Amino acid sequence: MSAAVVYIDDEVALCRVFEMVLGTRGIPVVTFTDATAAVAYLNAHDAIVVFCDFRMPTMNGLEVLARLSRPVPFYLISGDLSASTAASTPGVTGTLAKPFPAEQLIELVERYTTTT
Amino acid sequence: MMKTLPLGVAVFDRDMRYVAHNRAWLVAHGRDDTEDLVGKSHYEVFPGIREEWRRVNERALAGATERSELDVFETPHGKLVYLRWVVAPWGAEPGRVDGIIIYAENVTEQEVTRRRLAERESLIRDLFEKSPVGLNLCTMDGLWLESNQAFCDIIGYTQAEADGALTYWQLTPRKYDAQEQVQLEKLRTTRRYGPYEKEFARKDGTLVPVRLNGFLVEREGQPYIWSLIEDLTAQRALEADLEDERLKAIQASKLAAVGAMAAGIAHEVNNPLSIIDAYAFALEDALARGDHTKTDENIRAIRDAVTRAGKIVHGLRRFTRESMNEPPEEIDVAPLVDEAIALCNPRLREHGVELRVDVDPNARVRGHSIELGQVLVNLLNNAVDAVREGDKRWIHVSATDDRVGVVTILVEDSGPGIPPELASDVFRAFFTTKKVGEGTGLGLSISRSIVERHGGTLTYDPTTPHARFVVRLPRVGS
Repeated sequence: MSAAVVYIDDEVALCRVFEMVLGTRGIPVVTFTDATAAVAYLNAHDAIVVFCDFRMPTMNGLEVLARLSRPVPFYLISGDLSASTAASTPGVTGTLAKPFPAEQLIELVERYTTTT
Repeated sequence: MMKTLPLGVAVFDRDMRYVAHNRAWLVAHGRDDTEDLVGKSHYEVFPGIREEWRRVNERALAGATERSELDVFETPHGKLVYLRWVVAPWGAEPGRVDGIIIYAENVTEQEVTRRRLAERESLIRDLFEKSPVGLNLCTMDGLWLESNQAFCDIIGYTQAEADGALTYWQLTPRKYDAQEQVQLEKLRTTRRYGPYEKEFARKDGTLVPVRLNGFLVEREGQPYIWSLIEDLTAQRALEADLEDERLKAIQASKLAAVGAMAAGIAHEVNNPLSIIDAYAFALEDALARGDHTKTDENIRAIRDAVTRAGKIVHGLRRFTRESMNEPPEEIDVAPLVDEAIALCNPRLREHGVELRVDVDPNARVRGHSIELGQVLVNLLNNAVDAVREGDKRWIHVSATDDRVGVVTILVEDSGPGIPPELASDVFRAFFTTKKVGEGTGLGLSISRSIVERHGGTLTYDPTTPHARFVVRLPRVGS
């Protein structure tokens, strides 16, 4: 299976809309509302880039990152300031602060899809 | 005859030796009444006799008659004796003075009684004039007859302006009409009235809060009303200060609660904003391609997100609004619980806390919804703090109405509960087991004071293995 953009957020509406937005651009995208399932997927599949919400019920974005067995571009998304301190954590490529314009996420995705 | 006279009489010769005396004379002078002084010198019997009296006797021997309505001397035992006396000359033949007669009446008892009465009257007058409590006598029509200074100070009129001129009714605002009737009825049936709190209109037009107590008296067959009037201005100011402090403490604790929830609330608002932006983007995207198939879905998602963000903002605005001295209203418990949960939901979700809600939809209480909402938010926030480190994380909120008198709201959580030795401390102000910066230690003490002001109780139930806080409030029938 070819690599996909992975979007992890317990907010199902955001998963849906990014599936839609990226899908219409022909970019393969896989979304998860459950962090545990996302970790299992990422440890078994290649990913182009990962966008992961920081605040999630079962584990936070940094805990997801810590459980990954191989390096991958990893963006933390957060609705509050708690992610800003996490930005300097090794392995975190960058952060997106909610609310962010959809274009910002698409630009980042395109940076990885055009160089791949 | 002389022996039985009620007044003391003694007859002296020119050398002031006793010629005769009666028993009352001995009594009047505080001496043993069996004594016989005949033949003895008056000045030897009474060596301490006043110089002034010696002179009276000398003048009498010279022919003068003198009297005193009230005189006093001290007996050898140190007792004061009050006397009325007359000293007059006597002679066996006209124009000759053979000696003097002294009539002395001991009026000590009458004098002591008179003095005691006078003292009591002056004491009563002092009490009346200097009493810090306003005192006032009025006719049954309310015409003021006697007012003391304290009362005049309260109403701002002078004694001269008030007594015999002003009436109770002139200074009573009409809004008290109904209550006045109640007090008058009380006066008729029990001869007393009060304690009755009302206001008087002062001379300067301001209203002064007072507490009245009074009773009926009769003077020469006519009924009058005595009233005791206390100025409540200082007490009211103190009460207002206390209420002010209470509201400030509530507000401070509320802001602390908001602080605890702030990150979650930001998350809760920013998520819908992200959704709105992304769906708007998707909508533009689709329309640009001429794709109308997803328009409805996109618009619905946007509007749902707006509703969601609006709810949290609305809830927050209600919660942080300062509670005023508003009259209590009837409150449905279900929406009260819903609003509190909506505020705490971000934190519940963040920590993956499972929430069970079981609220009787008919439960109603009376009070201030903002304050009671704060109690629930405090309890929920505490519950989140208690469970977030645990493996099992659940909170159960329930409300039941016993249909008789009590609505019971339970907030239970899967945390370890409060150790028995701390159970009585948790409601104390500034008591906290949370880390520095995480809790003010005011939440539970303020929550309890709020519930108690609503006529209810807030307790901790130590009988379950988990933490269980119990709010009991008087129910309101539907």
